[in-house]
Amino acid sequence: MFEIVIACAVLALLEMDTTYLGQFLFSRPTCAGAIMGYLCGDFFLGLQLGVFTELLFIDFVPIGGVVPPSGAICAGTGVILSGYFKMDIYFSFFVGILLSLLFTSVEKTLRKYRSNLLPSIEKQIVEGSITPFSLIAQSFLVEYMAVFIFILLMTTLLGPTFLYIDEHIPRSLHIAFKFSYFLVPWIGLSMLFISFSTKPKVE
Amino acid sequence: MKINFFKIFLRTFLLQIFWNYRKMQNIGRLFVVMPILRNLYKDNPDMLKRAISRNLDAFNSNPVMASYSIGAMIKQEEKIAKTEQVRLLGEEREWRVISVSTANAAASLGDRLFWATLKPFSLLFLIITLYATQIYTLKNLDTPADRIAAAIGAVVLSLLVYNIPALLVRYKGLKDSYDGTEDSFYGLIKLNWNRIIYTLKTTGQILTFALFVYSLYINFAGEDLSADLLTRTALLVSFLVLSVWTRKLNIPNIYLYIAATFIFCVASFIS
Amino acid sequence: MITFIRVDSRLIHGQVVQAWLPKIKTDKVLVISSQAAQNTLMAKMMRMALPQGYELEVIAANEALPSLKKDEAKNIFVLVEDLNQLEELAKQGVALEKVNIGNTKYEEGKKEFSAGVYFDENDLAIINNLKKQNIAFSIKALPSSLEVKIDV
Repeated sequence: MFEIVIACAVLALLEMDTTYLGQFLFSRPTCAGAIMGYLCGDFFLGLQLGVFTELLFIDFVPIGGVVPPSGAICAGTGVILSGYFKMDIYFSFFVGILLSLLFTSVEKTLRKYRSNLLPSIEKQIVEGSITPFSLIAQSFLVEYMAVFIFILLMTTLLGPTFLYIDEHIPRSLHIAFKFSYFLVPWIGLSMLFISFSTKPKVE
Repeated sequence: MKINFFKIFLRTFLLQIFWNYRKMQNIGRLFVVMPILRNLYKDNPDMLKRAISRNLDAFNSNPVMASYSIGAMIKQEEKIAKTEQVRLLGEEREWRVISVSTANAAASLGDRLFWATLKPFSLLFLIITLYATQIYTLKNLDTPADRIAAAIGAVVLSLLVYNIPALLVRYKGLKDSYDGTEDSFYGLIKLNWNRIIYTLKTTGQILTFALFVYSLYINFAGEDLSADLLTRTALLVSFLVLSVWTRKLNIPNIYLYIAATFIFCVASFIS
Repeated sequence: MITFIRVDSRLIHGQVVQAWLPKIKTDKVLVISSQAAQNTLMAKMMRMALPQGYELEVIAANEALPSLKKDEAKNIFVLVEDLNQLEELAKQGVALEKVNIGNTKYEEGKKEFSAGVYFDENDLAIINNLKKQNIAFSIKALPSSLEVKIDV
């Protein structure tokens, strides 16, 4: 259990890189997946989930403040579920995607929450009763805790549930999920090609 | 005034920390320029207050390229600090125009260059490196630890492919736009951004095509003609065709994947 | 011919250049902004940020009709700074059918309708008025975003 908490804490920190802290792309699925894989004892599983996630998410570009589903959450939770709860990779990838979609609403709520705080915070900053630095530290803490709790809650809820129902999952379901997992890199590679399109005009 | 650009550079990594829908990166921008403001107006608390509320205006740019806006704003801020009372409003208006126009230009170029081109390009680079290590060096990488080390190397390299240009732009952008003028587009003219995007995209397209063909070869070549192979090929082709259509409808690929999973579930239950 | 009309206070910006322009057949981008039309720096920076393959013109709303007539043969992407200027376009007799709203500037007292889209009473009056002239509105940040209808 302690290991899972540590893994969730690391993943939440990696997710911070997406928007709030640095944008070094440590949060990109290939990197986050690999790091999480290393932590969870199966590096190549993490790397594979990372590459698959990043390929499938290539058409999401975070422009002008839209909130796309987080690739780090998808790959990271997938690795935790596979690594600690022995969920098959084609199931954990699917669950990861659903969690990344669910996570967008957490992210949007955080952004709305800050929007609503804005008027009073601006007033305090101008008056000098709060320094931008302490505000940023507080804000970071709130964001980090929200992301951490989301990840911890979801993985510790879904992981044991999976262990419980694992043996009742019919073989046909395994085949179906394997098939769609097999499609992912191909859809991704064709999208990668399209993302480099120079039409209509880029120059 | 001597400006510690390195300090500002470090602060730009926190530009998006208080991202909000109303004024986007406004708090982050204020945090980035705060040391400058404190220094410029250390003897004038009223002007400091005024500068702070001005810097709390909406700000929305690409986090990497925003440096090209921040440097230009700092330069104008110095002008405001020196100006006489009668010209204050005019200089402040000028500051707003510079802030908005450089931020928008940097957003348009930066989103395209860093998010939409260099990020996928470094992913492509990673996949090619992973393929290459498998083919050429796997024989020498017998132990799992060696293989992990090689793959970690590939991941780190792909991060560098993105981060070296990104860090350079982040740092150089501050200086170039600080030294820049309207005629040099606040330093943006030094590079032909549209040309760089075009070259990267064209290279990326050729490499991806090669990668796709090679992936088909290693996954399908040498397999005996069987019902399983035919099913897989048929599924692959039909979903690639389907993905052309979903793309036209602006449906993101993850929904295509989710739909595929449901279709396969239903199909496997029926059969 | 107008192929697309978008209200976006940021004008030429990541969302427009990266997400919308590749999806819509465009030869020319027509920016309607009284502020940018008077300011050479704003217009210059827009030109620099837009791929060279697109023609660009930055004008005020009252100059739009002659410009559109002159370029009748081209596919024109119209980018309007705010709703007041959109109303001015309609008054000038520019044929608007569908208007996409991407982003409006937040000011105190404005109500949020969608992420990044804020209207005050005046804006809503304009929308209502234009709706009566059979102009359809939708809020959509990116082509892949879900469309938000404006019911007032």
